[in-house]
Amino acid sequence: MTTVLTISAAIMVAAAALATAAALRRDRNLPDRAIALDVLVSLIIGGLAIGAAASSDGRFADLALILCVLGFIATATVARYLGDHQQ
Amino acid sequence: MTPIDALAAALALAGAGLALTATLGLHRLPDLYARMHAATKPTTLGLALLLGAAALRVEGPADRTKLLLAIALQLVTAPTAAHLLSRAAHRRREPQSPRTVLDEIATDPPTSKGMEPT
Repeated sequence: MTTVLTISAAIMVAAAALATAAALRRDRNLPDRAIALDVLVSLIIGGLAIGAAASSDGRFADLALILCVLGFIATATVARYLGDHQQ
Repeated sequence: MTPIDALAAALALAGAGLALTATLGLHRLPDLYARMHAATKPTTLGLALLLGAAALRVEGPADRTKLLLAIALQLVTAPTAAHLLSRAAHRRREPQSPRTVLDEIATDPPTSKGMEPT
């Protein structure tokens, strides 16, 4: 029962990641792509969390923590880049 | 199956559902700012639920602390990143949906009287 629920959660997150990748391909301007990439990083962290829940393996926690910080830095950098090129 | 495991599975399923909602918003909403709204709020809560499910399932306080720290970090950084990005996009005059009701930081033309240009 728990396994079925966990697997369906994993499938839902994978479907969301695929749809986000489609949005990333479709949108042509930079801020939209930055948003889609931000969501994609969040979904990867979510997948890692499901992996940790399914396997009770602590190594997923390190990866999730690192990706949290990295995703924020990436989005902040893109925002700075957008602000610098306003004129 | 212990109650903790069942709770973790339910949290994981709820978090995955919120992640799907966010992606749906990314595809369906009309302009950049609405998409940003869809992208940040459900992913923040959904990620908190997924990481909470993982924190219930891992063994040992060290890994549990790391997962809870990841939740706290996500709660702090996601609004900050969205704010930075939306201000930069607004400064670049990204197009808004015609159904936008109020743009509080618009400079030209002023949308409401008595509002200082920023």
